[in-house]
Amino acid sequence: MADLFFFLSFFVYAISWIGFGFYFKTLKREVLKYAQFVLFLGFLFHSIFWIIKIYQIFTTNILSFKYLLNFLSWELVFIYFIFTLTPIKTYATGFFLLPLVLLLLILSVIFPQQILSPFSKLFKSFWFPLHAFTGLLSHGFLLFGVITSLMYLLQEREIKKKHLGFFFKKLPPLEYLDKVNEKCLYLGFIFLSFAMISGAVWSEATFGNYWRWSPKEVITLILWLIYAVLIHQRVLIGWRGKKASYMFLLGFSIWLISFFMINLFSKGFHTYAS
Amino acid sequence: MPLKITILLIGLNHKTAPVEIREKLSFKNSPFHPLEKLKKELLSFKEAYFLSTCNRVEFCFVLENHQKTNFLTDFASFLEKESSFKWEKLRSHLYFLENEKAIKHLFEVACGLDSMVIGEPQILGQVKSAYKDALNYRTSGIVLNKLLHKCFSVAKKVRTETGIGGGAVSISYAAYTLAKKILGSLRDKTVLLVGAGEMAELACMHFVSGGIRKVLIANRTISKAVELAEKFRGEAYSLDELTTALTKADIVISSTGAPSCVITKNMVASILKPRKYKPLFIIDIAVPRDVEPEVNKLENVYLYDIDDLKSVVEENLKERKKEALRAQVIIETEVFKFQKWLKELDFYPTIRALTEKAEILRQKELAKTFKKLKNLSEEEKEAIEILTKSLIQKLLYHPINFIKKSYHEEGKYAISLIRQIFELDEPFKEVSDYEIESLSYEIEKVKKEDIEKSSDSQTDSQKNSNSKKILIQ
Repeated sequence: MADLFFFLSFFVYAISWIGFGFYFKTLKREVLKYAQFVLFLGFLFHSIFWIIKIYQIFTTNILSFKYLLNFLSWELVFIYFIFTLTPIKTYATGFFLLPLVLLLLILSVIFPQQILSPFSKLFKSFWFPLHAFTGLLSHGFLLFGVITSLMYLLQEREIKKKHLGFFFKKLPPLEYLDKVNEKCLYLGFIFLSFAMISGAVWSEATFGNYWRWSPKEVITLILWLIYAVLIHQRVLIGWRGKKASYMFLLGFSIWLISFFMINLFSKGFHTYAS
Repeated sequence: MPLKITILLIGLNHKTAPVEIREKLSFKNSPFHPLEKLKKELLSFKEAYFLSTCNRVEFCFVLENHQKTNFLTDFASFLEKESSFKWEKLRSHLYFLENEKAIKHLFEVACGLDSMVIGEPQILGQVKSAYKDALNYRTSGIVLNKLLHKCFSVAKKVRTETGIGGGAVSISYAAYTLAKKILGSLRDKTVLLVGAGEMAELACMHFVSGGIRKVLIANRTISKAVELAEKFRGEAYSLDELTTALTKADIVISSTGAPSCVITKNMVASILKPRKYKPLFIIDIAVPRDVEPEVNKLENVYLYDIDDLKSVVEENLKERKKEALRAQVIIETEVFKFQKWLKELDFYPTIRALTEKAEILRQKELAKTFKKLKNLSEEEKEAIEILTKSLIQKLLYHPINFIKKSYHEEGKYAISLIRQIFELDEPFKEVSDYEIESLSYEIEKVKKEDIEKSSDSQTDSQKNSNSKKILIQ
């Protein structure tokens, strides 16, 4: 049942991406409307999949690493819809976002089921779901910010070089992309802080200590510090645009290490293993 | 089969005629609309339309073929009288297009392909109001109505399916679109004019109509700045306070007559921090330049000088020219479709097809009858021939008359109705005896019911067979 909804959502996302491609080419409103409708349909399927899946996870007490990737892709679509509700219109993001969504879904299929969370027996506490959810949400905002940062860099290059080519017409204004970046930064930071606090509280409740300097914790702290520096510079000095975009890319590379390398290969507290 | 009517387009535009001639023929100063005058002078045309814009004057007529030569001489004298130019002189500036070429030209004009700036949108509105005039003076008829409606739909199609109207093609509009791409919404943004020249004022108008929040003006002579500030309800600064003004602005339009740079890199670099690196878009339309080119290297500062904007505009025009080729393809197919419609409009082929079909039927039925009645004399045979001929003539009299009469009111519909009823567009197929039998059975049934109702029982077998024939036809 869950598999059916998974494949449905994957195919519908793929169709929606084609629709966004047409929108990107023609910039027609109606095309966008259809593409977004299809995307929403896929999102519904995906949500149904997750309702079933969460029930399964809590009844079997098994959380495989692959579902983290799957959940991230769900979040990205969710964040996209949240941003379409705000007055900052950056619809073209869909065209760049969906390949990432599809990639994450494909990865989630490729990863073997056996790579399990080290905390499989400990799901039924109040803090763990909070920790996992906020942590993943902060990753979602980080990834979304990376996408808009890339778009910003593309657009800014064309305007600065005075060569108004292919992307100039299609991409949203620089200011809008920067504003989305800003929101992603603040929200990502807030959720990351939540994740760290809830993780620490949970760790204390189950294992008896708040912080143990495991690789995952260290690298997450680094990521948190990058966020903090970026926010500080942004609010006080006005780091924005290009600099902020590059910082997002830096944060992204650190996230890649933390999410894939450390979760899967390092030996330590957070390691997922088969 | 040649058409019975000619569509004739006579006109001149910015490529063929200088402005002195264009303005004389624009009829802008004449108290009467040219269509009204043409009608009064009883020129022999069926339909007429007149378009006059600052770049072109065009007449389009629908004429009967035989009227053409007379009409041309009449029209020449009409133009001579109205414009006070000699016909020989006018003639070299005019273009005369007929039928296919005229239709194509009208489509191109409506799409803006023939305009000075390719793809400009105003022309469609002008064509529309010209058509409205033609409606007002009752000079448009079935052909022009169809042709102009087709014009509008072709123009719309071209606009949506090609990028003919895309990209800014004037410098101030190019600056405006750039500003929108950099700053997003302009509602909470501030424009600073450096130098209170006319150029700056013009460029500023775009931003004001785009909903800019505030206008600042910095000028060497402060009185002029104050004057302009009143007009835009903004604030005035002297050039010494330029740094303060720059700190507040998001868009700078610079157009002073100063011989050297007014805005230097150091000056802009010093305001970046107080501005918190908010993006700054500087448009330098002055020659010699007002802003140091190095300013563009600063973070979040975008500098475009007049040459940059010009190259943006040229790039867009090139793009439009490319799209114009695609538009041509659309127009080409639409012209073809319209010509097909025109041909259908002509009723002679329909009438001929109708009589031919009837004749074939008559021959076949006659052959059948003669086969059965072997011992008929020549005289009797002739009598039967005459009978069938006159029967067909009388039956076809009404549909043919219907086509001829309603052609002018309903045009194509009358013709296509007849074509459908008599199945003229389908290959000839004889109706089988069985089909006729079942049809006549139904007729009998209807008749019987009628008879029962009216209880008037007088059946006329002759009449009965007659009505059969009508239905078979």
